[in-house]
Parts: sequence; structure tokens; C-alpha cells
Amino acid sequence: MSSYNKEKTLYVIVFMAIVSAVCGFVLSFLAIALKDKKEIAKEFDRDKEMLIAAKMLSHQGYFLMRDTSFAEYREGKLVASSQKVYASKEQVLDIVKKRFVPYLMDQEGRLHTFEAEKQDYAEYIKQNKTKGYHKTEKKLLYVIYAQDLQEEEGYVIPVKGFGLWDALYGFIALEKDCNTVIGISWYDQKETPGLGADIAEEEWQRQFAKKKIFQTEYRDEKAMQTAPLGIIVVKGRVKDVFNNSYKAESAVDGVSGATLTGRGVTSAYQRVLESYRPFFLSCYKRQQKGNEFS
Amino acid sequence: MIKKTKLFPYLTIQLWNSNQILVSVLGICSALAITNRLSIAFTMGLSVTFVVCFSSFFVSLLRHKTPDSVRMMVQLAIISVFVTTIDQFLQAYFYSLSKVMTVFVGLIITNCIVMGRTEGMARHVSPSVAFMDGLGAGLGYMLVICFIGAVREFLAFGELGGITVIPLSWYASFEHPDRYENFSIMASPPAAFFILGIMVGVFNFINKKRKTDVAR
Repeated sequence: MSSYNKEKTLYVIVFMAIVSAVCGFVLSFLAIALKDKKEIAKEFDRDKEMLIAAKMLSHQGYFLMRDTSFAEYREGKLVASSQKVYASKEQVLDIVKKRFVPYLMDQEGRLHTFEAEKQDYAEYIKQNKTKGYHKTEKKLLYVIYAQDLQEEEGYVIPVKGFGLWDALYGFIALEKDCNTVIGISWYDQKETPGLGADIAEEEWQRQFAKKKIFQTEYRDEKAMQTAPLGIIVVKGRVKDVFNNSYKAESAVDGVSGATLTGRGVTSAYQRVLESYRPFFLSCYKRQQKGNEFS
Repeated sequence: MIKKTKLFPYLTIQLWNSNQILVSVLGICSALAITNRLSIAFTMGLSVTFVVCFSSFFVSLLRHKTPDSVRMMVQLAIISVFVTTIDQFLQAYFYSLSKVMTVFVGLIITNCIVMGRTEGMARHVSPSVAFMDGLGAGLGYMLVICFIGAVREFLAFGELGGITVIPLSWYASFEHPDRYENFSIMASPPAAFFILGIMVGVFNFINKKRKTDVAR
């Protein structure tokens, strides 16, 4: 007469099992259906962060000229503009493809194209993301070309480290002298929102402009070979820790309440940039040679 | 004779008289954290509305079959499915927005409004009523946080929806240091707290006035 007892243990267990199974199934289906879309979205975001590091795109999504004035995309080039012009996806991809060319650096600091090394760029990116592009035998490096696509304007180095909770992935863009920082960005981090995650905020990243990665007072060949590399995230303010010493040129203020994330960032830059020292050295030598004839 | 219940009032009552934030003071955590900019507040409002509607609907569908001892777990499971759905959807189609909102989309699971509606209403009423109630609760929430978001974005950045509203020429500069400057305190959560408090105060004032007018 009366139906089954809802509260009977067996019923409860079976019911929960069915509910869990259905929920799990729905979510798995969703994950599979959206997997490719998410990949594409993540890759595009990575390209955007590269432009942000090179100070050609703002965090809000409009183009910039390197001196942080507004720019707009016209016929494949960036021209100065008096107002914000939001970038479209195609424009961003076009700029990245044309002006940020990936190369592989060998142990002597020489650059080789991916074709010359018979490697596929997309495959390389996918395979080595978690390992870190600075740990591969031939290391990934991007050359930023000027609008004429001939002159080298700067370099972008992919950075990988470990923050408080999980790995950090980002970029550091350097000027032609391989010492001065243009800017940085992080395209994947899982730090605490409001604390460690502030490293991804525009305001904190702004400090990195014009900092030097070589922590040395004098720039001679010996310093290039032995001086410590990287940007130090200090606990507190740089001016309290380093005053006016040369180290202040290679340090930024830490995020209050995010000391460990800051340490992760410091060690990330130190380790990654160390792997690229041969390239910086060859850069320096080229500069010296250039100066000899000028 | 089966009396046909009118559905629409279930929605409209949630928009003002029983507004989840202004009356029940629920779901204010996200109202403080996620209302920095109008676009983010709007996205959050839509996400919460989606979650509340469909969670209420499905909880109501299962209400006769769910054992009392596990009812909250079942509600939580259903809510989680919808929250994860919206989270994945944002990551796939609106990645930059999801990056800004980070964990707060996932935290909709803990939003008191959602659980409040499923536990307080959905399990007692029919699915269509539950859906309307959820829709109203979500929209009421969305209206409040969009208002807060608009005020904060306008005062903290001089923009609305990313578009500069206060003309750049009005701003203080080196030559004119006495001109307008943004209220940067509006960009931090305490500002939302104050705006919310003022809103509740005004809301109560308006309602009180209405009641005395009606009494007369």
C-alpha cells in the first residue's frame, strides 16, 4: 500500500549513488565537449600576455606603443593613436605571428629557427610547458622585430617557476641590450586571489619596466659571465632594503602578505635567466662590437 | 478543482520586497568582492541567476524522492554541477573574464542565496514555481550588484563597462592639480560594504514610507 521507505539505508545509498553518477556523467561530458575550446582560449591568452609583457597591449585589451601611449592596428602595423582602441583577436594573432618569432637557443647562445632544428613549434610548446622551456636542450626564446620586420627590437623569454600553491608561467621581455626589462606578465598562476595573485596585476607589474636583470655595478665581460641574474622581489619596499645601491636596479617591492609567492617569482627569474646567459653574453659581445665601429 | 497558481508574482516579489541582498542580507560576500567593474558584476549576476534557477528546478523535481537525511548533499551536488558548468563555459568562451573572476565563479557553490533558495523554497514547491522563484532571486541579486558595480566603476575609474565616461580633460594633471581625481578607495571591497549599507538604508526608508502612505 504505502510506497518504499525513503529513509531506509539501502534506498539512501542507491539514491546518492545514482545522483553522483548522473552529476559525474554530466560534468565529464561537458569537460570533453569544451576541452578544445578551452585549449584555444588558453593559447590565445598566452599570446596576449606575451604582447602585454612587451608593452604592446594593455591589460584591458587595447594596443599600446612601447612608450605606453595608445596605438591602433592599421594594415598590419601599429600606429600611434590618441585614444584607446580595443584589439580584436585576429589583430593580436597577426602581430604576434609577424613580430614575435620563436627561436631555439643552443649552448653557445646562438639562435636557430624551428625549421632548421626540424622541430614543430606547436608540438614543442605543448610538450615542454610543464617541464619549462628553459630546461629543454635547445631553449625557446622569442625575438621581437620592429615594424619593418628586419631590425631586432627586443627579446621575450618564457619563464617558469613555482609560487606558493602551484607553478607559475609567464614572460619577461628584454630590450636589445639583454639587460633592461621592458615588462613582465604571467599567463598561468594559481596564487591566492588578492594576495599572491597580485603579481598578475598591472600595477605590480609596472615596477619591472627599466629594471636590470644583471645584478652588477659595472657592465664588463667578467660581470656578464659571473654576475647574478634575475629580478629580486624584496619583502617590503626596495628603498628600505637596498637604499640606493646598484641592487635596487634589479629589485621590486614585494606584495604585502605574499612573501612566499614573491620568493617563487625571484627564484623563477634567477633560474630561468641563468639558462639563457650564453645568449645574453653573445648579445653583449655584439653590442660591444657595434660600439667599436660607431 | 485544481487552483492554478500564478507564477509571475514569485519572480517579482524577489526583485524588491524579498530581495535576497537587501532584505535577507544573503550573498553579500560576492557583492563585495566581485563588483569592481560593471562587466564583472553583470557576468556574476548572470552566472548566479543561471545556477539558482536550474538548481531550484532540479531540486524541486527530485523533492519527493530525496531522503531527508541527505537532502543537503543532493542540493549541493546539483548546485555544483551547474556552477562547474558555468565555470567551464566561461573558461571556454570568455577566458579573460574568467581570469579576472578567478575563484569567485567556483565560490557560487557557497553563495548563501543558492542554498537558501533550494533548501528554503525549492524542496517544498513545484518545479515551475521553484524556477520562477530562483529566477527572481538571481535577478534581484543581479540588479543590486550591477548597481554597486556601476557606482564603483564610475567613481573608481571614471568608466562604465570599460568606456570612459568622465572626460579625460576633467582630470587633475600637472598643470591643473586641483581638478577631478578618481576615488581609488572605491576599487577596494570596503567601499562596496559602505555602498551596500547605504542601499539597505535607503531601501528600508523607501519601504517604510510606502507602508505609512498605504496605512493613510
